[in-house]
Amino acid sequence: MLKKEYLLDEEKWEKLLSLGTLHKYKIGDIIFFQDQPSPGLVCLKQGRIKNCMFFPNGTEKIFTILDAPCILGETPVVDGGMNTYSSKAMAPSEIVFISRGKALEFLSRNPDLCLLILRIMAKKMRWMHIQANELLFSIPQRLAYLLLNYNDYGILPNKEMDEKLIITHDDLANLLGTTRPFITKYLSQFCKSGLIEKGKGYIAIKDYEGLKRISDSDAKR
Amino acid sequence: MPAIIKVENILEESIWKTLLELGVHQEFNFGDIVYKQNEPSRGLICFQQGKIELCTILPGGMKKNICMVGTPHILGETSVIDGGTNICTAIAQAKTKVVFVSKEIAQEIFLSNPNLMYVIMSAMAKKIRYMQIQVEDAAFRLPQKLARLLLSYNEYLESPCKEHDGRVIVTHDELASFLGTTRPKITKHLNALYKQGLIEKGRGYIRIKDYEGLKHICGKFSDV
Repeated sequence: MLKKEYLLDEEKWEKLLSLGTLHKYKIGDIIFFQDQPSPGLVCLKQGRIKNCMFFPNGTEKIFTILDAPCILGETPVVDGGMNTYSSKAMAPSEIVFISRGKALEFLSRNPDLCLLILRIMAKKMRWMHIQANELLFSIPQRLAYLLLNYNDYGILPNKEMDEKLIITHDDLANLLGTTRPFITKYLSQFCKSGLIEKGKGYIAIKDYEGLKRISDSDAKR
Repeated sequence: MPAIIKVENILEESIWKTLLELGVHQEFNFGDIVYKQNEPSRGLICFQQGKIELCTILPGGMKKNICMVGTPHILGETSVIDGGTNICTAIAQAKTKVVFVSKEIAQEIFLSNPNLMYVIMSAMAKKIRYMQIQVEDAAFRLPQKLARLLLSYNEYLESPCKEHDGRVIVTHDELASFLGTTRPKITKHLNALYKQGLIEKGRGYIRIKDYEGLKHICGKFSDV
């Protein structure tokens, strides 16, 4: 159920992939690291990755979780700067890196790829605004909002919403900037109030209105 | 620090002229709202003169600052690209002149001008970098957030102070609004930074005296 507007047509995609070199990653492998020179335009051919920032105190802030096929790493390609974040494989993944020079050349000859990159950047801009604004709210409010709007929050933004959100409590904690015990505590509360259903590695919403009331509860929102 | 491409350095003058000719000119006074979040977009905004504050206003009246922009600049590109509503609110902070170029015209010019697309990409790359700094704040407590903001303020925001004397022209209220907290808390933490000899405070400005010390407080990986 991939949204077409975030993909190239198959022929262009293959042409783009042919410009780079394929690398394979296992679960947990670091694909590239924050503040390091960019590996170029990153095309996720297969698998699932998360983009995040690692901090010296051991915390991690997840920005987005992406499924293949998708394009990332566009910011350093455009401005020539360092990697804006780190990227880690969440499933066995295949990735093609296209050097900045080749990517820029391909961009200059393919306005449709330019438009695609602009759309990807626009999508990113929207979830970044949401995540930045969310900082003003409490953890239960943020958690309820994320469950209701995870597509807008940066999780698998290429896909339509599924009934079940497949995610670990650790990843939820790292998305919201809190710890796993807090997430487990609030999810259990939501579960007891009949708002959600929890299973091994997934969460399903049972009561959208109830969850929305929590996300809207504080006068702040 | 990442290389930042200044929009005005790479936009071809002829395209800027074309945009200005095709759009609707409008002037705003201090405090006027140029556009409002969640409302339909009026198109691409060519910001010619003045000063604009971008922010989000949350129901309940709380305001979160996003950034301050100077001229020349292009705004409102996200909504033009994805056809969505305005992503934030823009408030004039001085007598401001802007030109609204309708979404349809802007999209047409995009397609026929790779240079303009590249300029928009560069502008977005810059915004993405400083938005990310704000988003990363989720992993930090207030004193760290404050140190991070002071260090990145001149780098990413269009600050009126172009001198490299480490001065950050900002009020405690503005800092509070950036970080979603209150002025008394900002003042308390700034006093703590001052006592440690990391900053110097004056009327309406803060001067960074010890960059390494401030970076140490942030505790960012690459800077430790």
